[in-house]
Amino acid sequence: MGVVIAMVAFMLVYMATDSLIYHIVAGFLSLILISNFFAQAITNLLNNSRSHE
Amino acid sequence: MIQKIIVYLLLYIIVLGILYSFFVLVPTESAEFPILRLLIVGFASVLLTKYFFYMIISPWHSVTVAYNKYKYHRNTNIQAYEPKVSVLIPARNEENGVITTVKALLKSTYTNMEIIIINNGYTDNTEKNVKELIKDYYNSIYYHEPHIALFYRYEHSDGKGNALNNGLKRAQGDIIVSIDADSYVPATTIENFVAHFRDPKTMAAVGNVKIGNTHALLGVIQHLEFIFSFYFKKGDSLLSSIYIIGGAAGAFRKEVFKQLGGYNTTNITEDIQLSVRLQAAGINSISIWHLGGNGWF
Repeated sequence: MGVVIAMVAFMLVYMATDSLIYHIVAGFLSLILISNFFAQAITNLLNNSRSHE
Repeated sequence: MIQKIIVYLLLYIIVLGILYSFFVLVPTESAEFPILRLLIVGFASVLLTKYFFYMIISPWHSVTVAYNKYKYHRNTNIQAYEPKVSVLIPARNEENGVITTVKALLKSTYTNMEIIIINNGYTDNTEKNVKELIKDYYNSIYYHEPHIALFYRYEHSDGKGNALNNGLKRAQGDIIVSIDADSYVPATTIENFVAHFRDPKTMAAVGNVKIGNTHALLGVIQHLEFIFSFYFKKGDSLLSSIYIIGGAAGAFRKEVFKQLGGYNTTNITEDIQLSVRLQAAGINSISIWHLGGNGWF
């Protein structure tokens, strides 16, 4: 949880600036967050569907 | 515990410091060391890109594991898969550690296995303790069929590679697992390993090793290092690019040794050497996550 909060904070800082490198980093961080979110969601879905059978 | 808090606190301070620096520091042009700066930026960019990429793909390893479980449970034509497993434990001056490791393995949920302890060059009571353990085990009232076979071997030559090769000669199993003598092995470890070998394409697997001794400062630092490196192994697994199948918890099909030969005896990191040969031969390996956690099935 702490890591996610730190990453969101970083993203906000980066996005507030105009530098290209900041936008690239922000893009990567967004991808990491989105990737983690969906991977976790799909894993939970698969595990839950197995336990309900 | 205090060391752990100090290390974590330091890391948080560094992260907050970097964050704070973005607000406070203003980039300045410096004519000094421009090449050095370029080199640093160049290397850091490669490393950071790799880390970013691995952080994006690594979570999807859990999805593939969950999907395989899901597929397995939906399959109505499941055939029992219980190959014989040979667990090799090289032990050199491990009079206490090896006993704990073997006792933990004897509590395994998977029983079609043999444990081979290979003692190579000792100056302590390793041999005496192991022989006593084996005697107690076979005389034990808990000993019943099906049982886990327990063997002891002595290797004259020095080096872990020689010890493992000695064990390989005795091994009868279809799957060979190497475990360090100072490891704690959860009861479901071997069962989890076997489950991943159900896929005939899988020729090797590596377990998720965690540092048990985090009381000392060095232990805490190593603990963090292992968290990172084993997290990235999930990404390696998805890309079939695992380059270290660690000796602490590594498993191979017997065919691997038939194809590649045994462990290297001149290299002190014989596990890395074997893993590199495995990659060079294009042999598929996967990483196991939550090894020793809740069982697969």
